[in-house]
Amino acid sequence: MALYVLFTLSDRQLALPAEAVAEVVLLPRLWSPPGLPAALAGVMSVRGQPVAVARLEVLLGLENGPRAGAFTPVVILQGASPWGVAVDGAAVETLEPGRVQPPPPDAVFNNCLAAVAETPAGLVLILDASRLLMAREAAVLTGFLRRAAERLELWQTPAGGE
Amino acid sequence: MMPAVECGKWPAGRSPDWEEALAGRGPLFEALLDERTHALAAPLDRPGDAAGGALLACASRLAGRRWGLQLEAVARVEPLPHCCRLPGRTGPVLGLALVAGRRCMVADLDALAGWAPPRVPGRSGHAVLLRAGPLAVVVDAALGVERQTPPLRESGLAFAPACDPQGLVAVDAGVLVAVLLGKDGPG
Repeated sequence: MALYVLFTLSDRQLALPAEAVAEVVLLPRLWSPPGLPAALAGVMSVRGQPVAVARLEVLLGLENGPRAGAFTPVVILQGASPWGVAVDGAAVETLEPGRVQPPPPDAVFNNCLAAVAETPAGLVLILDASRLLMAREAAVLTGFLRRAAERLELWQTPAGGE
Repeated sequence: MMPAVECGKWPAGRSPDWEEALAGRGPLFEALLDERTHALAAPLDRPGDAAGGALLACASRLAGRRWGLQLEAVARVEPLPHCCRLPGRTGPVLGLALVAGRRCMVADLDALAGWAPPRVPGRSGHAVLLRAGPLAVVVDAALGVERQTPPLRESGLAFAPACDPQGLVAVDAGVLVAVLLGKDGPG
């Protein structure tokens, strides 16, 4: 039984393998500097490290983003340049391997659909975290996060400066 | 499986401030965002994050999911007594019950998480009475376990901050009581 982080977005059930997810946090206030790419919702600080929050609905071409509310989860992905996606609801679930099937070849852009799982609640689309961004997009994101880190550094209080 | 009701849905009858905050606007929502932003940016330093410790693993109504309550937060586990529904109340607070002689609110964690519609478990259900408040949560079964590993990640739920690699969603009893009884406890 493999663990997955299941989430809903635009009335679809999506999932990422648990090992691809660093953590899930509730959406804080986002820093949205001018000139933010349309695919990014903003940047948040997670324990001092800038984490970009991307609009998964834009990346996947879905109709709607997460609903506005006080408890919007952000799924943060593992990686050298951590980034996350805001979703409607998230939960850690086990999925029976027998019910996880490979998708049709070239079914989606950049082959970011890793598998399709059949559950009592309906089909779950399991995403390949490494293919959600194209190589060039990932490079842009890394540069953006580097600049964000430099900006956040300016807000640090010097040690012993009180 | 995935939420059968909207995640973050709150019981009816809650104060207008909360209703506004849950819709993502208003001063309470802004205060929540500020508090969360500050907490998230700070180094992780929660007592519950340490490895080890006794937990009460409570079977959720949903397959493959378990809630973990720190044993010291639990006052009593009893077979579910008769639960008296409150007029006009819907959502995760199922009603009032006498558990171990104490009048307490009875809540459904699965419903509070937005994972399932509120439901009183069948005859095999149990009520877990929390020390922190006049509050009991209903579960299908409860079992004492030893936490083997530290939590892996946050669960995305305000009252259950972490999920361990075995899929045990650790409930912060203090936050749970504050969330459910903070505004309209039975007094």
